[in-house]
Amino acid sequence: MIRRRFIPLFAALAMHASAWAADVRVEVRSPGGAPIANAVVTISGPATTTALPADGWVMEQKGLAFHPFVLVVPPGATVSFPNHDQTRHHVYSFSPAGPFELKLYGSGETRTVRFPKAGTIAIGCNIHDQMTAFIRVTDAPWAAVTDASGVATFHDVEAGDRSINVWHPYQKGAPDATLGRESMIPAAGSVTQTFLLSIRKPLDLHSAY
Amino acid sequence: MIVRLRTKLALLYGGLFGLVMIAIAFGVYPIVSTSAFNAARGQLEATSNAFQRLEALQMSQLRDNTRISATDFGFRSAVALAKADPATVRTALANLRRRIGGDIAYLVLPDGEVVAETNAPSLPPGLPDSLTDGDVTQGGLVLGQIAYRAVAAPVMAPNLIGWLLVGTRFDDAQMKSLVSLSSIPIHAQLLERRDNELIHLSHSSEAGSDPQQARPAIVETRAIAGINGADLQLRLSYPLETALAPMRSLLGLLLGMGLLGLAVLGLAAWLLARSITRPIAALESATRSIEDGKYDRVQVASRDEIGRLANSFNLMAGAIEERTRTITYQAMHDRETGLPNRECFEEALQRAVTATGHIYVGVIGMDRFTHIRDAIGYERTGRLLAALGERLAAPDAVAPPARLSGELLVVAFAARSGAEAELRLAEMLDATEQPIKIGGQRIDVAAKAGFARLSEPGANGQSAVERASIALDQARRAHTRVSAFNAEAYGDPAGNLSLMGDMLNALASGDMFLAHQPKLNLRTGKFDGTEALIRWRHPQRGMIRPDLFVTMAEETGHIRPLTEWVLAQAIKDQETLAAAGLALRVSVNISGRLLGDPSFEQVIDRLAEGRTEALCFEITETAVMNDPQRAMKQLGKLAERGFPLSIDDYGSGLSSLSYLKMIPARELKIDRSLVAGLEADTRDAFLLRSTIDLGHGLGMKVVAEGIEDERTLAVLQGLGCDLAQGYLISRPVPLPDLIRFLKADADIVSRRVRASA
Repeated sequence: MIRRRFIPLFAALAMHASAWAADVRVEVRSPGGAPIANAVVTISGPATTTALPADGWVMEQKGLAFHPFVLVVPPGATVSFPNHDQTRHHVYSFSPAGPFELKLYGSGETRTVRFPKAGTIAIGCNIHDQMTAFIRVTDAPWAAVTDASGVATFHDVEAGDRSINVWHPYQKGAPDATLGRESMIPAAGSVTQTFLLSIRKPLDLHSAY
Repeated sequence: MIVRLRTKLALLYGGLFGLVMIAIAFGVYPIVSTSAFNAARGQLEATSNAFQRLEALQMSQLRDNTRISATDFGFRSAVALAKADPATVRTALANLRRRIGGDIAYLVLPDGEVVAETNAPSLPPGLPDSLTDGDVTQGGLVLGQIAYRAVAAPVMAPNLIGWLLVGTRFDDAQMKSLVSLSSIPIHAQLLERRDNELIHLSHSSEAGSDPQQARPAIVETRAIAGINGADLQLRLSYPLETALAPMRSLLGLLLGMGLLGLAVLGLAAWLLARSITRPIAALESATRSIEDGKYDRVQVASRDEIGRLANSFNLMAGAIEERTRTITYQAMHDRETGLPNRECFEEALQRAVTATGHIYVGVIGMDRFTHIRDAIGYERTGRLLAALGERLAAPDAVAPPARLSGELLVVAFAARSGAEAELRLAEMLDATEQPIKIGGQRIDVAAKAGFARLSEPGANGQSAVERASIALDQARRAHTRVSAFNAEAYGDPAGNLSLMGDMLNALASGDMFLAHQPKLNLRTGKFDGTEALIRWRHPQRGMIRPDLFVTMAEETGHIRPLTEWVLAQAIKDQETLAAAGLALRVSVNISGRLLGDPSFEQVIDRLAEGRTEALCFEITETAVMNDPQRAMKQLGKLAERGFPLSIDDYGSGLSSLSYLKMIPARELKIDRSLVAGLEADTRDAFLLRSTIDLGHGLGMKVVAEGIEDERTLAVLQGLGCDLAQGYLISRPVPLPDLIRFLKADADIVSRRVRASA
């Protein structure tokens, strides 16, 4: 949890050390103006560095839920699945980008899975249907997940023509499509972009079944 | 128009009952039919509700099974590889379908691709779009002509990787099991509306499934939502005919009861009406009988109003009968004697007309009737007449003896001839004249009879009685005991009225003329005068007897014109005679009736003024005696004018000397009854001599009439009679004959008379 929050900050600080860079602030809202959390915002284009590390990604199981709900990682990243619950979990994904199956493992145990390809991996627990999470594997240099106020903030994004894309696991339309926009990142200062995204009602699997 | 009371009553009651029944039927029909209808509808609704619950249950089971199957990890693993390995998915679908007990199973992928079992029918193309991501979709589904109950459950891994669609059939067996839930025999049918057309899918039975041949029915339709918007309908129907069957039998019962009631009521009304109308009809026919004069009694047993009416009617009929009998008796009988009256007699006679032989009607009249009645009183006279009527009763009488009027009794009997009738009547008179005691008083009765034959031509009962009455008068006049009706003597009573008309005509037409009978002066042997006598030669009837039409003229008031004519003609004839050199005084007879007529005086003055030498007026003694004072006054006036008067027919009547003294006459004519057969030195001769002397003593010339032989003439001459008149000298002759007689034969006669003297 702490790490997820600090990785973008760390990257931004690194960028800031280089020459021409600016802060980018992306707000994702529904057409009605409500902030949308858990949206994956990526900024792509030629970059000298990447802000996302290959290791240290965690998708923990705690309180019969996956945390975080959405995790964005670079290709080839290894994600560990520690079980902090008192029950066993059977974590799996049938997503073509990276299917895997972690058969029942107990409390305190952990498993790791490496995701080599870019794409979306939907994760579930075979014995707890309500447990769902998504890992978005992206090769964009800058990526972040919006917080509860629907905001993702990037520091020291290298200046130049960039493409900003937004994806959400419950977005309407094709599941893998992104909502993108070309944006000129200045050499200094900050840029704010706002995206309006329509999402479905988050699935309540208990109510569905 | 209904005229019979019975029919009216029957129609009225029957009609009223019919109306009531119709009203009941109108009231009952909607209630019964609505209740039957509602019962059927309630059953349908109940069945429909049961179906819905059953369906929900089945759907719920299918949904649960499908949902659980969709979460099967192995199945989900297979689904994740669907694109790469569809064959595995197909077998997995078959496996799941069998496990659930479904009839079809499909996997629909998020991109719309469908994985199905081999040989399974293909899904409708739009179906994947109607599935929602996270929710279970359920509803009807039609594949080809087969309907399914289908559930599509999303396959989550954990995001949506497809839908598992499983369905079970809605087939005929399902429909059958559905209708078996209902307590009434309903029909269930599953239909799909496609492009506004109903497509039949399944049914509970063959009967009634064809919508084209559908009979009227109560229908309950429940829509079943289709999984892909298909419009499915469950149609439960209950034929109206079956639903209303119990009502129909109820109505049939009602109708039957109504008809039975109508029949019973009609019969009862008819019987009631008959019990009323029968006595009424009897009363009616009895009333008609009374109209015809028959007094039938009505037999009515009932004690109700009609019975009382019948009793009153019978009393009334009795009273009318009694009264009618009394009236009839009174109309047909004489009150004083109790004998049948003339009407009764003539009626009986009318009935007797057809009897064989001749029928004679005899009228018997008591002599001196008024004297007897005055002597014994009216009451006893009545009893006397009744007793005489009894004596006249004969077993062979064709009509009962009746009282005609006053003293006249009338009988009718059969006889072969007039002579036999006369004999029978004489016998009856003999019986009548037997001494009789009335109230202890002996009475001697004398009677006369007249008779007439009923079957004479033109005779009816009435005229026969009249003729017999006239015959009685004739008998009395002739002083005979029994007399047959003499038509000649009486003339024709029916013709008498026209006779007077004819007479007045004759006075103008010249059918009347005067006949003259000369008077011979026995002292000079010359003819001093002549008596003018009226004669009538009737164009059809010939000579009419003067006494007939003169009497009739007196009675009918025609005597004055007749006398006027005679007077005028006598004056003319006198002038003719005078012109022929014959100076004769003409005597004219003056009726006693004219002596009471003041206008006659004017007639004399107008016609005969100053002709006192030419005329003489002859008046009978009896004419004066009717009203002496008035007659004397009249005669005095004539005498004052200088006309000579002559007393005619002296000696035939009462010949009062006091009247003789008072009449200022110059001439006394002795009646022919005293002259006929006169012999010398007889009592008649002495009487005649004293009469002649009496006339001479009173200053009158004496004329003898009716001299038929020379001996009589000689006796009269010897007795000092002044003038003579009679067949011996001359019959009454027309004027030309008189003139010829006086010129040619008068001398011969005169000489012969003088020779006999």
